Amino acid sequence: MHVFVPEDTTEHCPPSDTFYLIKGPLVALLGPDFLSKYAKGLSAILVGSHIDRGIALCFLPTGKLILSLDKDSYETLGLSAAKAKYPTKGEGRWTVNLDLTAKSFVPGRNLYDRVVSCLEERFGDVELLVFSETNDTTKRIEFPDEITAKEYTLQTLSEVWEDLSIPRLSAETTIDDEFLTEMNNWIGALHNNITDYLIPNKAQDLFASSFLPVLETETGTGTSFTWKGIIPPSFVLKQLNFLRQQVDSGALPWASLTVWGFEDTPISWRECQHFHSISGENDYSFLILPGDNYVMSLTVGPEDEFS
Amino acid sequence: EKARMFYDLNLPYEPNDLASVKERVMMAVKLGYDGVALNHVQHGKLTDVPINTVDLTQLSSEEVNFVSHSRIEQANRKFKQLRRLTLHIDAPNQCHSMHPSNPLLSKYDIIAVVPGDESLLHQACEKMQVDLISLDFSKKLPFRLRTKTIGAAIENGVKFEICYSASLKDPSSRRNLINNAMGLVNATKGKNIIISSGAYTAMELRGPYDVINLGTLFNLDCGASKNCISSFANSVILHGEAARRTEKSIYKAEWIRDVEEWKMEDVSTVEEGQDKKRKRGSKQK
Repeated sequence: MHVFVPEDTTEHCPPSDTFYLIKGPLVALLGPDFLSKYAKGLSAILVGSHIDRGIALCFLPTGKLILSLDKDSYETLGLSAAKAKYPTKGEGRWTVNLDLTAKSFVPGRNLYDRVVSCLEERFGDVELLVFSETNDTTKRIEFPDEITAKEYTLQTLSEVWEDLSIPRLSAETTIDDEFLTEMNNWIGALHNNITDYLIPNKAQDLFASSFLPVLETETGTGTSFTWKGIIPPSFVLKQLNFLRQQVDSGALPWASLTVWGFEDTPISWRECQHFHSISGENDYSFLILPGDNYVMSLTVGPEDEFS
Repeated sequence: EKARMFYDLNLPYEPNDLASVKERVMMAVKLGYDGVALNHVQHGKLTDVPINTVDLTQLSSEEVNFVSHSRIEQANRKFKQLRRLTLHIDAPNQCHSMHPSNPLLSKYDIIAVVPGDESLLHQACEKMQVDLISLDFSKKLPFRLRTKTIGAAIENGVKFEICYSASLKDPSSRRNLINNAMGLVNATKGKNIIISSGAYTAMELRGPYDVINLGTLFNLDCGASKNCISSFANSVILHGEAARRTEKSIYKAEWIRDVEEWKMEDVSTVEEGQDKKRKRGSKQK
């Protein structure tokens, strides 16, 4: 997540959320004790695997486990799955959708036993980014013994930009498609440290392409804050509300908040299927303006049911 | 799964400059490739020079930071480094070193040939037992790529290669690359082509999705372009394996991974059945 404010400031909403990077057999997370404590509110995503070249899986906070399998994995694993909408050409993929909070998902019942035996025998170890969120705070998770877990706390990385050409946003600025596209480009350039585009006084590198900003800009100082990891929605909301207050009170002329989603997730907004063939964007960006106005832009990939 | 992995099958290998090889392999790991082929380029006559793959478990902390810890761990498990030979042939008498009976060829996983003129291209397509035919697309080709000749190669299971790095340098090479590559795509209908770098430095390497976009400049659609660095590259590797690593080109033994041990159940029941049959036979006697 990335926040940019056009002032030299250190004020932001500090994070207090923890997440874990875990490694171990997937079946260890399906024990009845673990599920009863953590199934609701658990969010997790598989790392190190690409959805177009293998398996993708995620745990949703509603208590669901979604597995997106390619043809070979589907045939080896042996669980019943629905054919996925994407990719439309080629071999196709299959999605396994399990409700971990169902009353019938307990040891001794057919589905549970089948799932556990298949995952135990035919699914190797996985690496997941996990957090558990209830009542707008993340909580500590005690993992079973077979899982090795490393705990992380979200760290704020702040950077002050000087001599930056910052877009001028005033009451007269027309917010139209062209403006929003350029604004998105500008935020992207900032996040990618493309100084040639952002700081015009720096020497131009002939090797880089000459792509100049079209927006009306003025030179000034700004601060950007970055958080990396798996970010709970409550933290995004806290940050957003903080920025709203700052802009409303006049401490900031405007602010922007951008969140980049995982490209290899099997699910995007509202549990819509997501896929990455050439691109798989899954991002959203808020531009917070005075008068409690805001603009939200969603970047969605081509193979996403939500788009 | 293997058919969807991304491969760059042309990283020129210079035995005197192992640091450059390491740098390029690290860059390939960082960019997201699942395997590379270290390419020994020779002209005319074959000489025996071993190819040393890069040991990804022995890296300094700087190198690990460059790539990222988790990517290195994955690469240690899955990243393939293959050995490739590319022989530049300029005269018909140089063709005999490509005969499969040459023991030097068995040290390589992939064999490629760069024919110097049209008759040699014809020979490469119809008779030579190679995995890849590569041409220098950064210059204007001295001959035309005819559909018939290329069709003969494809029937023999030989694939064609487009190398992009030489064309990153100046506009005329770029123009030649695009024209030549479009001609090849036309002749092959977009199939049986691989795109690789041929990069001598790490800066000449491009990420897999960038290469896919580059492929679309050659009149390939996105899906076909993606196949050029994944499934067709994988079939070049399999072609090489079948030619040089199998017993009588039929079978190959491989250790099964722990996760696949459940498949062993089937084997043990078959053996029991056979024992029973033998016992019955001996009783009857």
